[in-house]
Amino acid sequence: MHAMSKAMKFNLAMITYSGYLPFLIVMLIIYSLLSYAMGFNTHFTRHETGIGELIDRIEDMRELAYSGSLIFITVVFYILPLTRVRNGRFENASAAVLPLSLPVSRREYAHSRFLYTGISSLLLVILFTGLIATGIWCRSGSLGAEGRIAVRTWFALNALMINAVGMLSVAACLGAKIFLIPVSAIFIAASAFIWLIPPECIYQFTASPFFWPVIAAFIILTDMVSVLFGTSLFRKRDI
Amino acid sequence: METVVELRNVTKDFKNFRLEDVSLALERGYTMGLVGANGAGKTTIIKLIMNLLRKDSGTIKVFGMDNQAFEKEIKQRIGFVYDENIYPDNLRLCRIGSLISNFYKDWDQERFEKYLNRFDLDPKIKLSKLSRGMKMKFSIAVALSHNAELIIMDEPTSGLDPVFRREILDLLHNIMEDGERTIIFSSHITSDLDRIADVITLVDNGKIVLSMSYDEMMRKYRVLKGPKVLIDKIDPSWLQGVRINRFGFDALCLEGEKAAREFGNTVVLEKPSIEDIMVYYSGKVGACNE
Repeated sequence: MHAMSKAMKFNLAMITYSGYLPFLIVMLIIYSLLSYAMGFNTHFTRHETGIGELIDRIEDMRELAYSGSLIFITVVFYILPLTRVRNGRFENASAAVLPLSLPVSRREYAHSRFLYTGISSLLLVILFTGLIATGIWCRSGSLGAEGRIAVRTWFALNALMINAVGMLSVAACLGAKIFLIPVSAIFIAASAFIWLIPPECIYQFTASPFFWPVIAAFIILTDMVSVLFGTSLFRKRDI
Repeated sequence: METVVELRNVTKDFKNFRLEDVSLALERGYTMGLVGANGAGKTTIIKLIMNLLRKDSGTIKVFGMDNQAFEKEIKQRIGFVYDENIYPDNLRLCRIGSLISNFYKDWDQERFEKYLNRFDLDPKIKLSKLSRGMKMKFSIAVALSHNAELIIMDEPTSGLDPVFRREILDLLHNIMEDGERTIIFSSHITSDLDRIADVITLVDNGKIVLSMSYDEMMRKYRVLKGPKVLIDKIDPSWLQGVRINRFGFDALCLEGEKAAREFGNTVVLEKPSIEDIMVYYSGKVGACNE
């Protein structure tokens, strides 16, 4: 555990000084504002046609999550710091050569990567969910039933696009030397998944009493699968 | 005498390259020069020792421990220098030092600063501002700042000018004086190994073709030159990389003393350099045969 916390600290420093930090901060601000604006706009629909307008809003959220969460957050926070450009090609960053030459086991290093991704992605999801709720509350003074569904929807979409995709992508980066193909496959699968589910189904899911247990189980399961597969492949592969 | 590094029948397969049945041993206090042409397998051996590559078969022991099962314990005692920079370019040297220091129980900050000072490296400068030679010096400073018992260096002198190279070799010479440290030093610049290596291991096309002490090699081996008529009279097992030309033949003679006794003045026997040995063993000289 002690070595893992050192590796975690090392990871954070690597990401902080990877050169992407300003870009990362700008994306965080933009996406925070977008989340807030999404909540602020949701107010108008709530007082007009109820569920129909709410489903339209879910559709908007789906589009924003598809493009925004994935590109603004997951790529910038979890993929770019793991890559480097050499001879005009994206490569898996050689950063692993340094930590793996230090007294850290592969398992500890992989776990520290997942710990960083898991914690930070959940914090981001909570932040964006908090901001959409703030947007709704600021405009109407309360959340209301529809507002709560909007907040749950935003949480679910971001949990998928940021936490699940982020963890699976880190697993792919750790597990495969040439990682662009598996990472692209994860992105395409996640986007297709969101795209193919009708907003009405999303509404029914977010309005159901099973929402929180199901979403919690989904997060835990995806994260566990990512950690198990990523760590196991990383322990066996050449650096 | 403690065996610090031991590889036994290690094999590693890649798509276009195979490291085959590699066995070698290095005792405490010695410097092993891993020599071979580019692509011969030197870096693969080093990466296998460092557990950056996973072996397909065989055993690798460092300080008597399996290098996968006791990876952390072993790496506490290893200093490493690779042929390319692996440290983050955007960080200042002092920051990299403080990050790395967290991992080592025996990190000596005073010694780290002393080395930076000795190498004229400003702790406040970013690594990206340094030349290749200076980056290499920084890597060496890090490797020497945690009392590493085994120092593994993969082509540390390639691409460096002769002054830098000499400085690094002198430094290695100094740190070996206490007899407690062991060094594995890979290079295709064989003149560097002539200066510091106690043991020479020659790697060619994924195989260890020779591993023996430098002194023994220099005592036994000779470059033998003689008339063509003699070639059939010499035991073929004595010769390596025979080259025949209009005037006679030349080859690396593995039994220099015996050849001198048997053939006397009819042959010329010269002391070989590591480069001679490497070239004759690689078999590339055969390409010039008539």
